[in-house]
Amino acid sequence: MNFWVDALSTGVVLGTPLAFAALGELIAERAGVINLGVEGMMLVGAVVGFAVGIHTGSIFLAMCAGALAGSALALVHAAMTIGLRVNQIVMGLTLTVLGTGLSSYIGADYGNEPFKHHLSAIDVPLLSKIPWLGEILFQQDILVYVAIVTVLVAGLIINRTRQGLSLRGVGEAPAAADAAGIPVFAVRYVAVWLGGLLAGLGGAYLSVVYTRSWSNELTAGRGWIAIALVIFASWRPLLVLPGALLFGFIEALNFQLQAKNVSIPSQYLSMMPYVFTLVVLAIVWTRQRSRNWGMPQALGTPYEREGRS
Amino acid sequence: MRGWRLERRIDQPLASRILVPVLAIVAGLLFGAVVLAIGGHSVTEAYEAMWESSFGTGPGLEQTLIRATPLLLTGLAVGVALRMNIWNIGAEGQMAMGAIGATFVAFHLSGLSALPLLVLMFLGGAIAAGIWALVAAIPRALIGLNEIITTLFLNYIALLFLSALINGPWKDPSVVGFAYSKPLPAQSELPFIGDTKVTIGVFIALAAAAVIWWLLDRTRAGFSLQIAGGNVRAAQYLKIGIARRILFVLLISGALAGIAGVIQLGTASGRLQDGLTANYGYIGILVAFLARTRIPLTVVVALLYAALLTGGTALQSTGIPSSIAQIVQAAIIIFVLAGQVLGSYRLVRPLRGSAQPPPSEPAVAGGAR
Amino acid sequence: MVADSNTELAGTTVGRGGELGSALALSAVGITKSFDGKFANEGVDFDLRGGEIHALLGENGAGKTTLISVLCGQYRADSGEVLIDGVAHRFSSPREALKAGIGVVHQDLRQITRFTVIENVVLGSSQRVGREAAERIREIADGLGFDLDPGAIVSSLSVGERQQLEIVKLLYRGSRVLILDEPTAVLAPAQSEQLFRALRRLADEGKAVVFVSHRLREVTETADVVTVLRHGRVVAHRPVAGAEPHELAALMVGDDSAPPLQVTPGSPGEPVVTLQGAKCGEGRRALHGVDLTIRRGEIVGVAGVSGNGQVELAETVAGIRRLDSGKRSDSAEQIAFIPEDRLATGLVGSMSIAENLAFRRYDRAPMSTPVWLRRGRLRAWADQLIERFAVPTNRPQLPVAALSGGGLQRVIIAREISESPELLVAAQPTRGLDVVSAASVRSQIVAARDNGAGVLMVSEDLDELIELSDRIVVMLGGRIVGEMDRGAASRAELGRQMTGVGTAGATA
Repeated sequence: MNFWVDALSTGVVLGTPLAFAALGELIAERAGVINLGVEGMMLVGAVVGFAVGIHTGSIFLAMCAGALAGSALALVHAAMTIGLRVNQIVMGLTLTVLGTGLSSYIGADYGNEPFKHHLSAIDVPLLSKIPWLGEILFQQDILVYVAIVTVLVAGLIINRTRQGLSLRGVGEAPAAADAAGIPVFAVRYVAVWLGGLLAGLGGAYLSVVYTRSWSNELTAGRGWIAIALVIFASWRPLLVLPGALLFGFIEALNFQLQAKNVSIPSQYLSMMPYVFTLVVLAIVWTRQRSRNWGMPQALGTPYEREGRS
Repeated sequence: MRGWRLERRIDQPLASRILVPVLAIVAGLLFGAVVLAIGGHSVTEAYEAMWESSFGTGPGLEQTLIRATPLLLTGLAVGVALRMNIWNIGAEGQMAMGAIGATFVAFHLSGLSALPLLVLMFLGGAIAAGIWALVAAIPRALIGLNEIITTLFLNYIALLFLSALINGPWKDPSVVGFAYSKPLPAQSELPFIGDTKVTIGVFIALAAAAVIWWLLDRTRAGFSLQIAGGNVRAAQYLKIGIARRILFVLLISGALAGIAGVIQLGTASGRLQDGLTANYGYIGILVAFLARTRIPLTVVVALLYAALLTGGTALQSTGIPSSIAQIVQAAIIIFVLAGQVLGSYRLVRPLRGSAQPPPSEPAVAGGAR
Repeated sequence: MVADSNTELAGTTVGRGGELGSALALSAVGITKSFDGKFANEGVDFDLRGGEIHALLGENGAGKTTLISVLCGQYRADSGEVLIDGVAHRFSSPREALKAGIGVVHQDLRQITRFTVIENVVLGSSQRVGREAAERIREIADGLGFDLDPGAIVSSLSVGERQQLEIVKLLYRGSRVLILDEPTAVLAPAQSEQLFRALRRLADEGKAVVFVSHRLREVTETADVVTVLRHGRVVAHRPVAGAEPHELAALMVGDDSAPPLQVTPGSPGEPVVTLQGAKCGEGRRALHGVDLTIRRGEIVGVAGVSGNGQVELAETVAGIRRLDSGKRSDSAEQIAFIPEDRLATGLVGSMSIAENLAFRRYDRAPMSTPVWLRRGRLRAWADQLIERFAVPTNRPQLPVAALSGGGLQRVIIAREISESPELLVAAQPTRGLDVVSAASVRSQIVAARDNGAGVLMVSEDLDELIELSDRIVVMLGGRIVGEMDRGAASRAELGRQMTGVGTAGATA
């Protein structure tokens, strides 16, 4: 049984950067902007966070720096797609290229340095004593808890506050939101910026806390997984947590299986969430239009106030 | 500045259409120069090395052409779909399926001689990739399921499938540490052009470009595709079937990407491996968009992008980080995109208000004629 | 008060409620807005008083929607201002207009269908979704006689209920000026009455209510003041009391001035299309039992205020729209349709002029073989049409969107008429065209008729109808309410029938 507990526990850790990045992308997409540059933003966050960590020795500063780096890249995305109304898909892909290049460039000198500071695990009093569950969930480092709390808070804000309502309104029908007096462009800018902030944070977690090192392939496609996660979670913030856990768990499971030289191809396991999501989408797609969840209806389309039909 | 407006213009003059991208490229290179300078690297050394390795020398040019081949094909793939306003994000996965299909054929028909084997490999790859594209096309045509999502996910699945195959049934048992497939039969190798390292894949890609151009520009089908992509209501009025065309377009798109995957097999020392697709599927999206889906432009953009990619890898031996090439790529694209938007506007002077009757455009009852 | 020699001024306004000199809620002064070089509003002055119901009358293209968009902050006016409580405003966003107390119910109700009623109402305000808001919503709704469930999802509401939601939303946000853009267009008569009762209640509470309409009966029965727009300018501004409906109709469509030019009458032959008891659609934008026969060699003009079923009639006659009941039969092999919104329906903006000209025959010989498209023949055909129909271009390879309205229309006319149709259906064929293009289009239509085609022509240009038609039918509320032969029609008579004045049994 220890095997499963280990896998789940590692899954929580691996799911943490995914949760951050996916939450960020979710916020941007709920405002109607799709950002395919998450991978680039995570990488930039990872390298900048790592560099700052090495130079200051402070994990806290490192995480902040990483988050800000990611958000800076996101501002480019926002300016181009919201300000200039450049196509969002193409712009996002370009930023992935830029982020990959920049992070590799900046990180060229950091390839061999390990980060010596360890983010220790925190035992939540009482709860960490629960058999199995305690080890999985309540003996993690603080950023895991930060991730969980952030997602929960974000879910609360998005679903229950008027700021969240404005965000959702902008993503569903910017014309209606504009008519209701909501500053559509400002909301979109902030949402995209937050998306980059969280992606950068997730990347910094990977380099500063998880691997405590830097390499060019650090994120290994996790940014893309985060994008998929948003869809898997049907754009509902609270579902990001179980989704991130699932993807993290699968990754952890694959590690464990390979370590034990089990010859089950791990890739089929990894495929499952994607196949599952596609099937569910196909079933639910026509009905989601009338529900209060699902793909934001204005996702991907730029808004123009004086657009005449 | 009251009253001055930016007005969208329909027809961008040729001079502007050429000048703006050129300026953008220059701007991108300047940006790269700044980044290099900040990093303490020699700008001239870097750019010289990049030029030499991509266009300046024979072997460099070969490398550029080798990379341009799959880029042209994926650029065509995405571009064809984009003509109908369909975003095929799945070229990467379709490439993978193409390579898988061709490998399957090669392993099971290894007794054939080169020519028939190669033909069947291409066929197999194109069909496999085409079917893979249909998996996304059918829900799009039937229920309007967003193809961006489906093709994206199919990428993940296809790449994982490829990995599963080369780690599983097709694994080369003699290789430890890396995952390669067993080698393909020798006769499945694409012949080279002369004594260069460039395979005839280049010709295949160019031929594909010619065929697609012919298809889109010179056939009835292509004409109706343009209408369907340009205005759904007009298409309905003219009784042009939209669903059918969605399937057709994505089938072709997938097949093109699949062919790119088959050609890529040749560059991987005759084996199927992870990383075979090398993001060409995603870059193809950029190529298609930058070229505004115009075929001749797609060839040019693919070539230029390939040059940047080649220049990048060549930097590794100079001690200058090869990532600068990626930075330049991204910067150029950003400037070109900005230029595309800005170039489609022009500054218009304010209208003089008047107390006279409005210009003679009476459309409603009672107007003076 | 703004004095303007162009308008008929009311010194003090007597509202239906009987109050004298109610407070000036809003005063628009000199609003001017243009698009692409054409004025949509020019020097519009507009006064609104609290406690009044104000009607805004005008034909399509008269500038009503533009004016409303300026008032609500959606468009920035080129010049002019809006005075509220003595403060001059030039709104640059809807938010500013809302803050100033102006609320608009647009024709395309700007709602979020996925949200609930309460979410839509509260969106953008400083309140939260909660019990308080729900109660307030119910309170407002009940006060107006609406039955609105705050928890209902908007996509489940009917159009009438959605409109009610819009009104409640504006009141919730504290609007003192309510503007409704053609609210009755989508409502059944009973719902319209309910709406007007609610509007009257609002006016009695001191709000300034404006509604845009075509229906004179609504205006004369409900409004206290009326402003008439034509060609982007105010042509009348006066109390409704004492206004004769036919006067208002005349103001809307213009006076009976220029004598119609002479067009030789057609010689009608065999019927080419017949409708019997045709019914389709719902509400006003529908047909409620239409009998019509069009014969070859005649032009049948369709008069009517837009939104009374003309589009549906045109589409039905052309065979594009299916009937829900009734019969349509035709003997035409070749039918041509000239749609109202050219670029949106009939053309592909990004394709070239030459290509658009070829839409009707690109898939047949000689322009194409089973596979090939013969570009050479396409160009030759296009050149032919360009010359024959004087399409204003010397570079047919340009995207067709580069042409002006007149050019676009010529392209469509050229393309459709050159197929020698036996039935030609034209919806607003000269709307928005310059004088020369309009004349050319008209002569093409007559030529088609002289070639033996039966023509159905829907138009808002009464002079055009009188000049060209061999017969004119008048549509109102989805039915044909009148028919006149050539020579018997006059602007005044048409105006009367179009607006349902003096016609027994007309539904307004």
